[in-house]
Amino acid sequence: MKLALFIVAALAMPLLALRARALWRCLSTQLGAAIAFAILWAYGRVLHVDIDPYLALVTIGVGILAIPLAFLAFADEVRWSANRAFLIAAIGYAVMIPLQLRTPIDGDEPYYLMMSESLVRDHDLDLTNQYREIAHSDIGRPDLAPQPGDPRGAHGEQYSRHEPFLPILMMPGYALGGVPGALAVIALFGALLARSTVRFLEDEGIEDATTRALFPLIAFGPPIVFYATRIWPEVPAAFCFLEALRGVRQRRPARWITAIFALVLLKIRFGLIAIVLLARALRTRKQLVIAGAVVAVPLVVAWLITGNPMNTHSWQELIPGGPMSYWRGLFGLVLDGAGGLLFQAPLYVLAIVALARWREMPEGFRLGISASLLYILYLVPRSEWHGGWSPPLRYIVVLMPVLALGSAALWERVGAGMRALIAGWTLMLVAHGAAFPWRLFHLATGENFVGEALSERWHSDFSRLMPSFIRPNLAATVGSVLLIVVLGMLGIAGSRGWGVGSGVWMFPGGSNLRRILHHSSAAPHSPLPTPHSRSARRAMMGIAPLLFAALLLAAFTYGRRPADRVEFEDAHVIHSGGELFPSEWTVSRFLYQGGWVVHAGDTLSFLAKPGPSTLRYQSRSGATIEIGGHAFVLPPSGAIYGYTMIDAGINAGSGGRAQLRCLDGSANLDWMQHD
Amino acid sequence: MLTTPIDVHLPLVIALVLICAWTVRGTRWAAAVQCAVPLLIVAMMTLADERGRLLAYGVIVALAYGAAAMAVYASTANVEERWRPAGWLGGVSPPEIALTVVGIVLLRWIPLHDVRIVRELVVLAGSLALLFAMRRRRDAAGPAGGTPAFLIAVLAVAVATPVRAGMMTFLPFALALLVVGLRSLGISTSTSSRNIASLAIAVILLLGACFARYSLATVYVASAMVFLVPLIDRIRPLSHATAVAVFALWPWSGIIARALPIARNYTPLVGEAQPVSRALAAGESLPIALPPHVSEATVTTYGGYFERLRSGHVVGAIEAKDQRGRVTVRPIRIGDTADFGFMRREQFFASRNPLPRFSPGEIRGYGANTWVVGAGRTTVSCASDIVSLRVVAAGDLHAQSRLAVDSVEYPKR
Repeated sequence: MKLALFIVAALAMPLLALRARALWRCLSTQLGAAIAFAILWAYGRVLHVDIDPYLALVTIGVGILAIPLAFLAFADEVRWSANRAFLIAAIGYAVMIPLQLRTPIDGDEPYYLMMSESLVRDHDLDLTNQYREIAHSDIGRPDLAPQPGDPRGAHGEQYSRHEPFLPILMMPGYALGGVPGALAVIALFGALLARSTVRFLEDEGIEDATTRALFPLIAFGPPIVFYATRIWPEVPAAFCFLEALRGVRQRRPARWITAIFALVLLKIRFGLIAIVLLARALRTRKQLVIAGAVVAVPLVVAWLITGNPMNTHSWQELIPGGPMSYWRGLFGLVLDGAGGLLFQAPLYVLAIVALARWREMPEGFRLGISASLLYILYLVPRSEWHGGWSPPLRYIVVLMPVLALGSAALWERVGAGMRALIAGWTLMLVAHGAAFPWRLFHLATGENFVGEALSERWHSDFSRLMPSFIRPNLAATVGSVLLIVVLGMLGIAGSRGWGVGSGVWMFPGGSNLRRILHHSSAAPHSPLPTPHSRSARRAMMGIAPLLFAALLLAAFTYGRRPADRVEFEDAHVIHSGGELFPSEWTVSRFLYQGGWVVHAGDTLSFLAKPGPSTLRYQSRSGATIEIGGHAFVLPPSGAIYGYTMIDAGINAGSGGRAQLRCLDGSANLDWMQHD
Repeated sequence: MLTTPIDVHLPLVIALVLICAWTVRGTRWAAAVQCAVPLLIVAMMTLADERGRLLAYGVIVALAYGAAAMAVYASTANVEERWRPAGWLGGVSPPEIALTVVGIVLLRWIPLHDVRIVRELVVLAGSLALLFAMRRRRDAAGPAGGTPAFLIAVLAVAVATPVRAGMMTFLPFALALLVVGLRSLGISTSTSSRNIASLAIAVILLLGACFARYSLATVYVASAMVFLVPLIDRIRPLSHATAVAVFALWPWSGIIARALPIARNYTPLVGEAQPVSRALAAGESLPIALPPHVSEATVTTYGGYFERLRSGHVVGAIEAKDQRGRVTVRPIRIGDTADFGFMRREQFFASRNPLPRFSPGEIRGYGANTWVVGAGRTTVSCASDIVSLRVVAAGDLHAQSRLAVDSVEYPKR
């Protein structure tokens, strides 16, 4: 079925988007690609290439579907409109839904669906009977139990902590088609979001060619593609937010009032966006009254259901946390290996760069970002800034259309090499997420799938090279400093009018640049680039893939060396016995300091530096471990962590590998830091 | 863990990719071609399975090379005007030459330590001569035509040219002379007459391939491709995709040169295999014990000193006796089996063996030194369960020759 869907989509997309010669060239290229894959498949059999056939199928499918989208981006003979974008996105999501259903729905998804089921079958929100008869439910999660903190009614009713608007929206889909039907509703919102995003970019003056080039990366790139084919309120919310923004920009109160109302109904937390946007949009007293109702009604609904207008939240959550929590959340959302834009949705990093060129950015971008400021300030100090048990970037999916506009404004000024890298990385993320949907959910251990894969392959700590703000590491500090420096330099360059003429990493991109120059207040004073500076920048940006390759090689060389700190639960450690701490399915696992629990007889093998090191552990009864032929006694530390000095005892013949064996007792080993 | 010759030659491969990127510099394809470099490093870092990793190298480089070729030929006239120095001979631009050299180095020069430098340079020069001969301007007034089909044909000839077969090293030069000779005979006055003449030569060469021994057939087919350029160009998506897919096998380029039909002849193991590993001299026989209730058995054999034997020559037989006492004899011929190492680079051209019809596809070596073990599978079936199975070597085998029985396979029970 999946193969059939891929074939239908591969034919339908070019027929919708292309015409004349481009259409035939695209179809023949797809045919050629299919033939090439078939030949490689045949020789791969002879060569006994060990590859997961499912991964191969999905990768080939993604590759073939990328062909019409590449033609859409680069060909001249295209059929392009926002409505066609809607249809293309719908086709793409129709392919992605069965891929995402390879494993049962996870995270908050089954709870939303259970509410839909209750509404369809019992016409209420009481989930008591749903939990009782969970084994017979269509949801496919017989293990489901109420979430901690779920409200209970006066007569013992079991409610969900989640707002009921999304389940109400999914009711028709669920009634007609069960889980796939409910997903189709979300995908419909995804397609509508794609359509609105195209309109938004057009409204804000982004060139048609740029929009076409970016459309596949936005609609079919992470995080949108994963949230448009899974059951989360984020994509419908992004659609509502975008429609509200467009309504405000076009001064169409009916549109923005409806959209903001729906936005707040989807999740109370989006009320923080609504408040700022309303403050920017209100012009008449009548609008003020309506706006008050828009914010009040969802609160009343929440109060009626749960007895608390803030649902499971409290006003205290709005009180700012410490500066460290802001650092972790703010920079984590940009740089974190598991939950940051840089690794999980690189296209949108351009939007962060766009912040440094605030005054040059389109009005829609500035309005959208300023409207989301309160929401971001509320989000970043939370310990769950990375989204918790969900696909990456959950909490900022709602902002993606605005970030897409920022990226689009800079797209033409980024070198072709950088664009190719962004597109390639995005393609890899999509293929990976489509083939292994369960890997979209990460345990928030401080590693990411890239670091884990490399660490397992080479048994060396590659994860330390990826910035982690969940378990802060040196790379996170270095990355934060670099980000500040880069943004600062770009900001200074922009304020002095150097940016478009002699920015370090940009080069002018033709008419789009001229449009920005024309509209920007600062730009008319900017010097136009000289041919010499232009060619120098082109040369520099032209080799971006080579610079990236050099970076990879350096990382590969450095990553195979022993690290200063060994985190015992990490993928590079070869575990023979013992268990992960805290256990895999612990709620809010990221709040714990991880470790690996060893008992007598368990061994760990890892790369370590010779010489004295400090071991951090926790043991109630104490333990004895042996490492490098020496025994070390770990005194009981009670419920807190203890520290002891050990010597890894690495000798020349061991290749830097240390073997740690627990001789007696048990201990939770957190980390070992080389002194 | 990165010990194969291909891994060792990765810096050279990266350098060749950079040359490809250089040929398309200033075009929108340059960035895409350059992306092959980080992708190669990613493949090296992440893929543990050796053959998977090498195939990934192959695909990445083939895509980069294909993109560079497409870009170079996409706007041939512009490219030539931009690239061709004043006084440059022929209709070939420096990027085309660079791509040809890169292709030949990838397909023939890895591993470097085994390169016979003078002979390889002769092949390289001959291939360039062929490219110049093919890529002459069609007429003085018209624009220079260009198509990747030229490159495909030249690389096909280059890869099929044996270097350890005396004068055969000059095959590309001979073909270049033939192409020039046809033109000087006045055949190229019109497009249709030129195409008809080319097609006629191609048909003759393909007929030759049908009747020639296996080791010569590749040469005939590659030579025919030189004259089939208009056809290759006409069926563009098919031919280009096939070319890229075949080029992606450069980490085992010996397969491209000598064993391309292996994908058709490969028969994977489906039953239970029992190793035998015995070599039989002329007239010797070997009884093989089979488990009960087996009515079909497949014996994998190969030969020692068989390379001079022609297709169809009987080298042994399998005798199976079933429960009812009926004896089934299945002769083993050259074609069912072959000399163990006849597909080695140094032995191939002189050998008379074809690729076995049912090959276990055991591939050895890397790059241009890759070869397929000449083992073949012969199946014997009986109406009822086999009670005894015997492999007999033919009595007329040469004194040094041996029929080796590698294993016997029977359906899973």
